[in-house]
Amino acid sequence: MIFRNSMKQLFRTPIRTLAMFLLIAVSTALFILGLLLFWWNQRDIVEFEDSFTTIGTVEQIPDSVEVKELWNNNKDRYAYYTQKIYGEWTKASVLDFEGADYLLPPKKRPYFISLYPGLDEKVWNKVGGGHSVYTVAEVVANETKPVDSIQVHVTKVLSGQSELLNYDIYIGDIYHKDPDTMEAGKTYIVELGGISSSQDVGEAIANGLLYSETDPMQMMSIGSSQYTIEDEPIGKEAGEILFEEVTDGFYETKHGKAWMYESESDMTKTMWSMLPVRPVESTNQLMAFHTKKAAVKAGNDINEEEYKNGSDVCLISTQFAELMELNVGDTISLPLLYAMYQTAPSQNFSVDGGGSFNMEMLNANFEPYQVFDNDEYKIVGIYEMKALEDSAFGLAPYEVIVPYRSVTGDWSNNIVTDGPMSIGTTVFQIPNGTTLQFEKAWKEQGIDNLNITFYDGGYSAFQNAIKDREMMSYILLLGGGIATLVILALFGHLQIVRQRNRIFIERALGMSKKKCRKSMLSGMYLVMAGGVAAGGILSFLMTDSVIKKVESKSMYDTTFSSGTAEAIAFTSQISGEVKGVCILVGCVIVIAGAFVMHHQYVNRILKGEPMELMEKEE
Amino acid sequence: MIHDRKGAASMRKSCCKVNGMSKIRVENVSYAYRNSYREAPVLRDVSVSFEEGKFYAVTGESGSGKSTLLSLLAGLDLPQEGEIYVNEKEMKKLDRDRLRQKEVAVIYQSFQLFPLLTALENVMYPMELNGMKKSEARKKAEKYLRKVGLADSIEKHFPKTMSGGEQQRVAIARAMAAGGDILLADEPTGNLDSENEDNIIRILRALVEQEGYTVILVTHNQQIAALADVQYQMRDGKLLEKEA
Ligand SMILES: Nc1ncnc2c1ncn2[C@@H]1O[C@H](COP(=O)(O)OP(=O)(O)OP(=O)(O)O)[C@@H](O)[C@H]1O
Ligand SMILES: [Mg+2]
Repeated sequence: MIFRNSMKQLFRTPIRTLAMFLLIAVSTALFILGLLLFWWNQRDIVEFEDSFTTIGTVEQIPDSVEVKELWNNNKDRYAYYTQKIYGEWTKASVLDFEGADYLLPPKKRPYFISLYPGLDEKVWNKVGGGHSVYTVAEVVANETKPVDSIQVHVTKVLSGQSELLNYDIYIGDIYHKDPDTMEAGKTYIVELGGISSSQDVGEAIANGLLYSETDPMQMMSIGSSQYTIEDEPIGKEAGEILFEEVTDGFYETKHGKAWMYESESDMTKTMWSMLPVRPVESTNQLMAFHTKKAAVKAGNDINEEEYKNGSDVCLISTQFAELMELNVGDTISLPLLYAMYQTAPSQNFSVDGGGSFNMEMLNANFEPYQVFDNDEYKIVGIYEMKALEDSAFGLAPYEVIVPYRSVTGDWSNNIVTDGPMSIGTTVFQIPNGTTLQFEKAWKEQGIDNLNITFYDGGYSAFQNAIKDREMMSYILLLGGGIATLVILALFGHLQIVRQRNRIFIERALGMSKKKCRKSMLSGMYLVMAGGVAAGGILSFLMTDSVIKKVESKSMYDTTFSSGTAEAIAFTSQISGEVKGVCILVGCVIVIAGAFVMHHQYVNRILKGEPMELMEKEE
Repeated sequence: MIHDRKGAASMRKSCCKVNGMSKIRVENVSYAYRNSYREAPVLRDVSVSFEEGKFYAVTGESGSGKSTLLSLLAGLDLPQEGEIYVNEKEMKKLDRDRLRQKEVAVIYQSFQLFPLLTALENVMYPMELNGMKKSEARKKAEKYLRKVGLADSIEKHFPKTMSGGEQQRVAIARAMAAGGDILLADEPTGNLDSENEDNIIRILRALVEQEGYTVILVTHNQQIAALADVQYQMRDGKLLEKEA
């Protein structure tokens, strides 16, 4: 009866009640849309932040670029080439300045070379057409003459092309203008390069196609390219040897042993068995991954845990997987031999399977390097490089990626190449959206021989779009929330405070406080519940179109990812479940708000004795 | 009824002595409105007894405490001192909501009808509240409305479309509907012209004489007060009997 009368009295003011219903419906719908948008946004922001990284590359600008000359005995003239001249190599520590906040600190990072058994033959098979063979041999000079070009008789092949044995060939060092002299009849040890494995040596020599006086076989000096971790070129300082006379006990001497080591190192096999192993803190620090040109196609990327723990896991390329018939889950052995500090692997290992290396096999003591780390790595993923390129931004065709911390051995005695900081070796990561800040602070350092370039994958453009959307969700949420509150307060005022006399009458008629409360609120709640439900339905109907509108306005006006890999797909859909939860939560909040607020109103009036409610009559 | 008469003064202080059935008995009641800043004493040591089936009138200056007394009688608050008995039951121990619902009805100068309910619904309200079936409540309400001299046509009217006299008659019908036999009327004719005033007083008298109601009427009108069985005057927080 009380409820009936409560309803009855509400419908005696139908316009007000209808207005209440509609306003509650609309404001609830706005509030729920705000909630949905807010949730949607928060989710996307998280996804968004996770999917972007801001990488900076560091490159030392050369002091000058000089034209150098290189003598060529064959042509009897100089060849010219340009060389970048760097005075002192700037240390990465200059980037440790006030205002720089790194997620990944800038430092020169090496890549390693592992000798992978069987790789040479697989590559040779694949490439076909032969490869150049390095030969260490003892020769007897047939004449006394500077070695720009000299005929010698091969008396012993220590390694390499054994078919050269007993042939008379021309050898020479074409790049030195005034080379040393060999004496007729004496035995020398030399290293020769430039012969192809596919050639029939005897025939070639007989026909004079190879190694004529005017085109001698290239003599190669042995030496060391070792650097210390402090960039000291101790290998170069140890000198280089082009040839040496073999006398009794020669192989007991230091140099004799060095030649033996060089021979045993078997440069031919080594050069083709080299597998680049890149230790990283995140694949995102590799520009190819960062620009989405490379992506894991099978298995998984190395995960955070594995990076943190330095797990022995690796990513390999599709090319390597095919070549060696490897799959995710397989294990490969990676004995690490050399540390390369000059370039990225892609700058040494070329796409076609060849490569160029500015390194020697021996260390500064003219001894072979020792493996510094040897672990079994589990393949967790296979990545695909969409467009192969040799630049510092590319990946070598067989590049193996491992967690930086998985390499625990000390490679400071295995550094075979080194150079100033460059894009291939020196990257850092800063928090998204802080590039301007960084650049400003960096400028203040006044260091101008470093080129710093940022790559944020379109973050800044994207960020603006997402900021707009975030703003919108706040406006809706706040606007809807405040509108709902105001409307609830308004109706509480109209229906309760302005009708406080009704409470007095009811109390005077002997209605208990509880019944009064019911009389005042029950009808109101029914109308509000109806309004809230209508608001819920309204928001349900509006969500998709609102989101589509917001989306089309903000999301796709940015050209995210110009790379060939797919852009990250931001799910524009909100699942039915999430919608349901948001709507439910929104409705519950509004109803709870109404309940608390209106109970408050009624209780304040009901407090105390009914006498206090009596209107003063004049 | 025995009154203690002392001296020649025409005003006598009423006594608490009881003879026969007293409907409402007030004993040494003091009341003060309190708020955080001050305490305003209104009733000081009031003692009075209202007997069954009698018509009482209370006069007094504005602000003297007449309405306050009626409110206390209706159990709208409890006095700070003293005790009120209704049908010889201590008010403090009663369910005062139930008391108003079933035994004591109040009518006011400003009628206090539910503005959004019709005349009929207003009268039905207390009966329905008492658990009466709607159809029965309706029949009874129609009867009460006729009793106070209202035509059937008024049943569907809302208070704001009725005259003051009509509204007050609806209020009386509603008071009757509660089913008690005590009616407290706080200046019920204060807003009415003399014709309507006479009408209302006639109805109240009829309630006393025909239905056995005890009516306590607060009024400013001395002529009307003179129509009562017993007259009291409120002065300085005391209730004094006025000689007939
Ligand atoms: N709720 C209240 N709070 C504080 N003081 C009040 C309250 N109601 C009444 N009063 C004061 O108590 C005194 C008695 O008021 P009451 O309404 O009982 O007088 P009254 O005799 O009915 O006057 P009137 O003839 O004007 O109706 C007055 O001084 C009044 O100002
Ligand atoms: Mg009064």
